[in-house]
Amino acid sequence: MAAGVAAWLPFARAAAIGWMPVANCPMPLAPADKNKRQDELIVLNVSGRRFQTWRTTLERYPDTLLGSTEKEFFFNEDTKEYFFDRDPEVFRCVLNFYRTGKLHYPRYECISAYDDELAFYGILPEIIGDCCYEEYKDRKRENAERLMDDNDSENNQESMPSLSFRQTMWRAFENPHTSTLALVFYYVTGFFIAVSVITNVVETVPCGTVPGSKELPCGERYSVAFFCLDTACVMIFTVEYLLRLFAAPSRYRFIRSVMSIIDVVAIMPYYIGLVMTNNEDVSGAFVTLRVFRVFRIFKFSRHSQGLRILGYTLKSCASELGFLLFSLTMAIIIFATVMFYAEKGSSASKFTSIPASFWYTIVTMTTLGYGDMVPKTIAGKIFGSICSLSGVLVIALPVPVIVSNFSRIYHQNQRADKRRAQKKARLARIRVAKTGSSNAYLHSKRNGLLNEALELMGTPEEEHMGKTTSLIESQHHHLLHCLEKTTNHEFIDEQMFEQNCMESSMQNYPSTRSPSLSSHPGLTTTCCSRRSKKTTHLPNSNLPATRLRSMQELSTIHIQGSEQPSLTTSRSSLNLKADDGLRPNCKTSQITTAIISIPTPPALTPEGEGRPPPASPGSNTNVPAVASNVVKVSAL
Amino acid sequence: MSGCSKRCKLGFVKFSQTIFKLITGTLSKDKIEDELEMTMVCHRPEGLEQLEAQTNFTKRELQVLYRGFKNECPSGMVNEETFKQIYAQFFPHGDASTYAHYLFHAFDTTQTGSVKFEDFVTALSILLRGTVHEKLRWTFNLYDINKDGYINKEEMMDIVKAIYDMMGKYTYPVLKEDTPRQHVDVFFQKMDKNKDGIVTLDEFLESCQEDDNIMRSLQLFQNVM
Repeated sequence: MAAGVAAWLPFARAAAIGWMPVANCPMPLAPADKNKRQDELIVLNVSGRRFQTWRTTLERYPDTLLGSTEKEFFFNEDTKEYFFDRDPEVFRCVLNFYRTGKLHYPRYECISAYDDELAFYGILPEIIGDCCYEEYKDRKRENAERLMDDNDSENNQESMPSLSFRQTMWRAFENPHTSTLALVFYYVTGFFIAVSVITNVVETVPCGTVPGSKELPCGERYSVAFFCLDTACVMIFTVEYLLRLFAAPSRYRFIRSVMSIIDVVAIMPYYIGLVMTNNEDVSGAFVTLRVFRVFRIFKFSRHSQGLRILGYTLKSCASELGFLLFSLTMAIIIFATVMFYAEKGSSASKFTSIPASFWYTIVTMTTLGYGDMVPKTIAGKIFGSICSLSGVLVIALPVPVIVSNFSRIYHQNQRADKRRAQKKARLARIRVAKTGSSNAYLHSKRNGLLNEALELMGTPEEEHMGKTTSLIESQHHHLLHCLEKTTNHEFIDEQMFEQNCMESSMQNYPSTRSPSLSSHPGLTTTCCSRRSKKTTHLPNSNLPATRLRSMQELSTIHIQGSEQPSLTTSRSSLNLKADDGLRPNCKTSQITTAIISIPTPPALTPEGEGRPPPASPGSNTNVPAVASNVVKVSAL
Repeated sequence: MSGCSKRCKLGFVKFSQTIFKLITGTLSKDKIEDELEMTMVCHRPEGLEQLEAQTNFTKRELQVLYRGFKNECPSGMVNEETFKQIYAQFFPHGDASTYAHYLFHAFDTTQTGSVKFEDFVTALSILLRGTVHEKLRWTFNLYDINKDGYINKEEMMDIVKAIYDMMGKYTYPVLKEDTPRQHVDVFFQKMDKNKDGIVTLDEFLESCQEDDNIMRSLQLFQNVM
C-alpha cells in the first residue's frame, strides 16, 4: 500500500458507518490489534550518520530489509540502534523511499554502486519513480554494453586448455592473431582476393591490337593466363570456404551468415561457367554471371575492421535509410508527375511518360543535373526549380542521423580496443598483487616457523621477530598450513619449484646420498624449465655454499656452525623421527615435511649462527616432535 | 518437418515485417537489451530468535555471521558460482573449485541449488559447535558425493584429488600423478574394516573414533567464532 494511503485508513474505516444501516448481514469481527505498541522513533546509524524515523514508516514495506525482521540482525544492543556499514549518501534516497513512496536515482551516483545498495536493502529497482527511471535505465544499458564488450573480449582471449582440432581451426579463422599459421593464412587469402579483383579489372582494359582485328581487351588476348589466374584464385577461395565450413561450430548458422553467402556468390560463377561453356544460348547469361565476381571485393570485410564498422552502421541505420528511401520515392513520383503534365504541351519534349520523368527528377533532386533532359515550358522550369530545392532538403535530413550512428559505433570500437589494450596491463598488475598475497603466506611461514623454533630454545625476547600478522592473516595461514599437512606437500613459490626440479635432475649423478631428498627415486626432469643457474652441488652436502643459492633448511639454523658429520647425523635422526611419525599416515616415502625448505634471506643466517650449539641436540629432538605433531593433525 | 515449416513461416513473417518497417520508415524501437533481468530473488532468513534456538550460536555471533553473509550475497542466497569464487579467494595457489563444489552440495542439504542463510548457519553450527558424532556425520556426508550412504573408492578419489588441486602446481615435493591414489589407498586401508571396498557410516565413525589424531584435529576449530 502506498505511503499516504495507510494514514487515511482510520478515516476509511470510520466512514464505513454509512453502510451499517443498509447492510443485511451482520458485520465480521474487527481484527484485534495484537501488539499495540506506541509508535517509537528508531535510530538508524549508517556509517556514523544517524537517521531517525518512526517505526511505522519503515514497516510500510515489509518485504524490504528495513521493513522486516531482517534488520534485527543489525541491531546493536549496546547503543540500542541499528548499525549499517553502508554508504550514507545512498541511504538518504532509500529512506526517502520509505517516507514518500518514491525512489529517486541521484545522477552523480555510480550505477553499479546504487544497484548494490538497492540489492542490499532488498528494494527492487523497478520502483524508481518516473522522474528518474529513464536516466536509470539509460545508465544501466550503457553499463551493460560496456560489460558485454569486456566479457566478449575476455572470452575471445581465454586460452582454453584443451581444444579440439576443429575448435582450434575455427578460432584461428575468427582471430588470426592466435597463431602464426593463422596469420599466414589470413594474409595469403587477402593477397589472393586482391589479385582476383585486380584481374577482373585488368581483364577489360584494351590491350593493344593484334594485326588484322580490332582492339582486344587483355582478357581475350591473354585468355589462358587470365584463366589460370582465375582458377588459382577460385581454388584458394573454395578451399578456404570448405575449411571454414568444416570448422564452424554450427554449420547451419555458418551457411546462413552473410560472409559465407558472399563467399559462395564469389566462387559460383566460375563453376557455373565451367559447366556451361558448351551451350551457346546461355553464354549471354554466363557473361552476366561474371559480374558477380566483383563480390569478391566484399571478402575484404573479414580483413578490414573499418569495412565491418561501415556495414554494421548501415545495418543499424536501416530504418533511417528506409525512411530516406521512402520519402525520396514519394517526392520523385510527385515531381515526375508534375513535370510530365507541365511539359506535355511542348513539342519534342523528352518527357515522354511519367517513368521517363523519373530520371529527370532523380538527377535534379540529387543536384546532379546531367542536362540530358531539361524542361522547356515556363511551368516546367518553375516546377523543376522547386524540385531541385526540395531535393536538397529531403536528402540532407536523414544523413546526420546516419553520420551520428557511424560516429557512435566507431568511437565505441575505438574505446573497446583501448580497453582491451589496457586490460592486459591491468591484469598483469592484478596478478602481481595476487602473487604478493600468496607470497605473504610463504614469508610468514618462514617467519612463523622461525619463531616457533626460537621459542623452543627458550629465548622469549626473540619471539616477535618478523612481521606481526593480523589475526585474520594468521588464521588464513593456519588454514593453508592445515592443507599442507593434509597433503604432505608444501607451498613454495615458482623459483623454488624450478630450483627443486634442477636439483632433482642433478640428484641422479652424484653418488653421495642425501637422505632428505632420497624420497625422489626416479624423479624425471620433465617438470622443470630450462634455466641456467649454477647448480653444481646438492643443497645438503654443501651447506655453507647455500647462502649463495638463498635456500636453507630450518634445521640448519641450529647447526649452522657445526661441521658436516653432525649435520648428516642430525639430519638422519630427523628423518628417522619423521619416518616413525608419518608411517601410519602415508605409505609414500615422501618424508620431507620434517625438513622444511624455506627461502631465507642471508640476513637471518648470522642470527642462526649465533645460536649456541649445545642447545641443538635438544632442539633437534624437539623440532621433529613438533613437526610430527603438526603432521598428524590432518589425518582426514 | 512441421517444425521446419513453422520456422519458415516465422522467418517469412519477420522478414516481411522488416521490409514494411523499412518502407514506412518507422524508427527503431527499444530492443531486447532493455529487458534487464529484474528478477531479483530475495530471501529473508527466519527471525533471530528462531535461529538462536535452532543453532548453537549466540545472537551476537549470528549477527556477525549474517553481516558477512549479506555482504557477499545481498540477495540472501548463495549460488554455486559465488560460493566457488568466495572459497577460491582463500586458496590463491591452486584451484579450489572442485572442492568448493563438493562443499556446496554438502551445505545445500535440500539440493535446491542455492544455500540460504539458515542452511549456512545450521552447517556451521554442526561444524563448529556440534558433537564429535555430528561432525563426523557431516564429514561422511561430504565425502559421500552421490548421497547413497556409502563411500566408495571413486568418491574418495574425487575428494582427495580436489584437495590436492587446491595445492596448485608449485609444491615441494613435486606432486606426482599417483599421489592422490596412494593417499586414498591408505585411507581405505584404515577405514574399511570388512574390506568390502566401501566405507559405511558406522565403519567411518568407528575408525575415526579409534584414531587419536583425527579426534584431536576435530577440536581444532573449536574457537573459530
